[in-house]
Amino acid sequence: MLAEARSALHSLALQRLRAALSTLGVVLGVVTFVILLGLGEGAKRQALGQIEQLGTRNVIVRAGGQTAEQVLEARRRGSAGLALADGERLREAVPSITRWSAVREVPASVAGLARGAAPQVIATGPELIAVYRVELDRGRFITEDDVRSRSLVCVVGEDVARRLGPDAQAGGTLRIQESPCRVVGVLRRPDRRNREAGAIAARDFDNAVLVPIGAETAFAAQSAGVTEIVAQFRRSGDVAESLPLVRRTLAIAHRGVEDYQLIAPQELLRQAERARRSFNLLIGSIALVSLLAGGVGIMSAMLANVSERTREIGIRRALGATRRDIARQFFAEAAVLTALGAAVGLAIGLVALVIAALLGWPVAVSVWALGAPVTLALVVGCACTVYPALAAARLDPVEALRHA
Amino acid sequence: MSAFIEAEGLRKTFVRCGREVHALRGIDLAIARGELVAIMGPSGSGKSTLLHVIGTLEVPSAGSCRVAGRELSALDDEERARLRCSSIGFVFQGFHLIPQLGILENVALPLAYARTPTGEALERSALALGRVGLGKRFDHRPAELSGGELQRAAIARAIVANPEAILADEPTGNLDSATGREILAILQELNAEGTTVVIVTHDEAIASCAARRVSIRDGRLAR
Repeated sequence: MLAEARSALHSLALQRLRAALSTLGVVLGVVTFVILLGLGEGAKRQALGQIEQLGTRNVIVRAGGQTAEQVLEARRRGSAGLALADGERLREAVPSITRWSAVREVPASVAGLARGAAPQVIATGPELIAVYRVELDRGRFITEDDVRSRSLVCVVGEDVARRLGPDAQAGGTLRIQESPCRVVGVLRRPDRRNREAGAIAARDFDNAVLVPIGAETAFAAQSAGVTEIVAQFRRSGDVAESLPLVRRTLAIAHRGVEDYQLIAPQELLRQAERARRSFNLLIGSIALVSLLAGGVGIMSAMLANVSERTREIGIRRALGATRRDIARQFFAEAAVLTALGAAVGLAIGLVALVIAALLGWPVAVSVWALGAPVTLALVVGCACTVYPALAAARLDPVEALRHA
Repeated sequence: MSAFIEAEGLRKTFVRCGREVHALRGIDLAIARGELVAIMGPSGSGKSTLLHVIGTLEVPSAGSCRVAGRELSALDDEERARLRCSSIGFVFQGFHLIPQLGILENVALPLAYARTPTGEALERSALALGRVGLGKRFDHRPAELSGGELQRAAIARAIVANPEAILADEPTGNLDSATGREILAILQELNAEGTTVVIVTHDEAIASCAARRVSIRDGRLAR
């Protein structure tokens, strides 16, 4: 009796192990799928957020991006490079542009610096605060008057303010290339997401000293060129239809020389959406392959199961089970097995995503991203069970009864 | 008394390893409702095949076979299964209980295929087990029962759906003679209550209990 009970337990344990092994493929498939979708969705949202920070109402024109030969060619054809005049031209030519702001990076050093990266000296106008969506922490920003009178005043970023000590507070004085410059305002540190926005995204004014455009001639060579112009449209819906006009205006002004780079965040957004779709397709195919492998695992386990339980099938048929009853029984068993595998996979995937999120990875979870892997696993699992279930149903009852 | 089984010119031919095997070569047999019939013959005589055909597990190759008034060759697989489910109970030499299921669940199987609600099915199964004297072993697995108990459980399973006939293939073949007599007594009792009983056997002692004996040799009935 004891030996019989032990052998029954043993065979049960064996079956449990086999069930677990046969669903392993489904578990791994669902885990892969859930993690890939969660991380992919998180990375996508982060990228979209960064692009959106550039401003979907904005179009950015950046100087340069060309070789020395191209610069010579540009000079020969009469293009002076990106200049303040380009901003004016754009506003005049494109009615839906409401304002623009130019930025000129000035190669100049700031005296009295504590350790750390040298602050960037940037010459700009009063529009910057609205166009770049920066905020003042204290003091005031550069005004029209400052620009007109080329006043030697500056607004500093939070980092600079901290590192230069009391001199960099509003009311203090900085020395840029030996020229004294009165600090009139300090910028607020942007939130963390802004700072993660990367090279392409909104400028980092944290470590910058802003001076009125034109005033930099006090400590640097005079130049009409600017580093970047940002034109802001009335509504983001105006950008797409005005983009050709913007291109044409710039092309005429620069006599066909592409000595500038035009960035429309809206277009980037669309490109990102397209990239995301192909990325999703890629993820989907990888996960589908692993789920198919899982399905094959289930199929082979079920086929082994059917062949082992041939006599049981014969008995059931003799007791009045129809072929459909037999098929249904094996189908249900495999469906339960698949569903368990999918549930375990989902749980492991979610735990992995939580760990990834805790480690600071961008993670996004949606009903779709959780439902799709489970649904797909069920579909694949059930599809792979059709053949074993039919094989069981097709067995000849008398042959099956004779089976050892 | 109307016939439960009517076979005329019944033939069954198998193809084994590319060769035709004629298991039944024209059987004419009528078994009335309420009869207790023993089918006798040496091994390989075709008696098991005959039991499988009249039990609707096999289809005749030629001739006619009517079971409970229905011509087998006119029924499809599903209809034959339904007929089996409602009218026939099988008892096998090797008991054929499903080892993973408990005794009560094993007995309830035919009712599950007859779409009887689970509660009612378990109640009726308990009654059937009581009838064969296994009223207290519901929760056991087949591995925990003796041969005689297993065959009693198999009989309980055969009668649980109240079939018109019980077809028993060497029901005492795996049992000692005392236990075999007990099993036979149960079958006789069921027959006395009106159930048609067909027993396939090569045991003279068993056959002598039957009201009628039919001998089969080389696929033909012996006169």
